Amino acid sequence: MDKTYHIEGGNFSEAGFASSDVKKLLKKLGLPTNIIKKAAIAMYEAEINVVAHAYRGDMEFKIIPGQILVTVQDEGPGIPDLELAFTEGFSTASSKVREMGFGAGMGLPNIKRNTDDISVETEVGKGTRLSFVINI
Amino acid sequence: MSAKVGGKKIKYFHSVRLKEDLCVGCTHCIRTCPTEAIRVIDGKAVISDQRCIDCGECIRTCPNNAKYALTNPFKMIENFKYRVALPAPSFMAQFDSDKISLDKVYTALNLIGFQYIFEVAAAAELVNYATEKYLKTTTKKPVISSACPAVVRLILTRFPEFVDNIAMLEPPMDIAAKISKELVMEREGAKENEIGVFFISPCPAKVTAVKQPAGKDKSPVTGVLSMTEIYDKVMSVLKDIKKVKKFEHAGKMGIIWGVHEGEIESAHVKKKVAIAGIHNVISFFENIEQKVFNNLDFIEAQACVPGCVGGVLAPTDKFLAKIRLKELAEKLKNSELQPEKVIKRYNMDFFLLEKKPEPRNISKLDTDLIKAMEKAELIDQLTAEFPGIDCGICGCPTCRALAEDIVLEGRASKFDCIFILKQKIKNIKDELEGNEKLNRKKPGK
Ligand SMILES: Nc1ncnc2c1ncn2[C@@H]1O[C@H](COP(=O)(O)OP(=O)(O)OP(=O)(O)O)[C@@H](O)[C@H]1O
Ligand code: SF4
Ligand SMILES: [Mg+2]
Repeated sequence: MDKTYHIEGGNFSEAGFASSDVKKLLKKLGLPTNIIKKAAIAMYEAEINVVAHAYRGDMEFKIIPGQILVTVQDEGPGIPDLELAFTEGFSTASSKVREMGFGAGMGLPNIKRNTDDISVETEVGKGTRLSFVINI
Repeated sequence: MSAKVGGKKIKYFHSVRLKEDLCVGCTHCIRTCPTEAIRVIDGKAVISDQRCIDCGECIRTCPNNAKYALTNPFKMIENFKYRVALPAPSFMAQFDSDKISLDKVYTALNLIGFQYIFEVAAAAELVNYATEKYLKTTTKKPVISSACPAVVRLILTRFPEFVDNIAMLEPPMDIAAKISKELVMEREGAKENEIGVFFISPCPAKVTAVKQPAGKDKSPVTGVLSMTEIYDKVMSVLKDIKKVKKFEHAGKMGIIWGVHEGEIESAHVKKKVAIAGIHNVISFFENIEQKVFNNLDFIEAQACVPGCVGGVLAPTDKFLAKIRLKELAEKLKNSELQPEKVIKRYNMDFFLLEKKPEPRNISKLDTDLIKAMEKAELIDQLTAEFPGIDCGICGCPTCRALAEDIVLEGRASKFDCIFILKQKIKNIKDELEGNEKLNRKKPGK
């Protein structure tokens, strides 16, 4: 089964829609609670990163026996130094974004912690494509 | 809809019932039911025993009074030599204390047959202390209050992911029952089976909590009486009261449990939140971000607005009752029952639930992932065929619910949808008219 969600940069009030929609689906599919929690956390962080750092993007969710696959592709500034971006506490979030309670630099590390496989392709000035897998 | 726990199919008891003869099949209730537990089938409402959480929303909504809360009959108290009334904190707010003092109300309770009155508010004070301890030691944060049985059942059926967060603490009603039994046994040298402890309830959820408790096998409460019924009985004996007796009362911290934000008031933790209204509770649990959720310490969640004073069995207007209860709480302020001393008599075990409440997992489409996925796809496809206006004429609360019923239960058919049916009729009509034209065109004999 798959689902696609559009994400608009700057739209903080709607951020989280995709992850909570998928969460509902995963509950219906009867997946174990810990898997649902992991997927919800990782998807939320990926979603919010598009909202906070990019212009727009699409999130593709797919579930097949044994795996949950998520790809988030965005148009945005890209990430110049991936290793740095994955460092806990590193953030380039603007003061405006920080005021909203984001920008602790924990998103990407959190995604990594909650997934079984992760890959990022990014091009400065163009955008970022983040994919992850959660084994079920 | 069927739930299997440990392989067995469980039949669930419910206080919320239908008077079939009064039901006109109007579909008001199916829309307000927060768990989509009601369908109108053959012109009558049918409540799913697997989904109902006894919140009482449908009782509130039904314009024909066809829904009611089954409580124990008042006569049940006659079966016991020693009878204890356990008035809920919300009961204390049903009377205008300028005219009818609480002592007068309790004297009236004596008069109608209860030798002992034990305020659930007093037990709530003790539970406050127990909660403080529990919050310090538990690893399962945030803690969700276990006091509202409708909310507990909501979590068990719709939010199994939060079951571990439900406080493993006995609600005040149960603590009140246990302690008052002990007291009567001590004081009267009574045997346990001679004592009946009766909760005066604002809601059907408490009836269910006693009949089929979550977190233990048997409730210490003997019976649950309707607050409306007791209110009427109290009002009608007031005139017979010769001398108002003096009772000891719980203080603010216990009394205030009867209203929204009352329980969290005395929890000394940083991040606490109170939610009132079952639909609000659902949207909170549905939308809260895991990260934000994990950062909370304590959640008070009540099915009724504004707290238990808004229960369907509480006769007084809920906002009036809220103000009254707050005034009473300020007036009585300090407990006369010395809860800080009483609590020392009990160890923490006394306050803990016997076992973890079992999730009911009714939202699962299938136990097999592949089959569940197939069903989910089918439901999506069917939903897309329907007009999406959730008109309720098919007897389901939403178009999606009809799709789910068709796929999961095989009970409903897509022609239950008036729009699909109309289309089908039009097709048949076109076909018939087409045939007729053909017939007419046929050369005569
Ligand atoms: N989709 C993206 N496009 C551009 N830059 C990104 C994107 N995702 C992350 N980054 C960069 O990586 C940094 C670290 O991301 P991460 O999600 O770990 O933290 P954050 O978003 O800054 O803060 P938090 O997630 O804790 O609110 C960001 O500050 C940003 O510079
Ligand atoms: S909020 Fe109180 S009155 Fe309402 S259902 Fe829950 S326990 Fe009953
Ligand atoms: Mg982030």
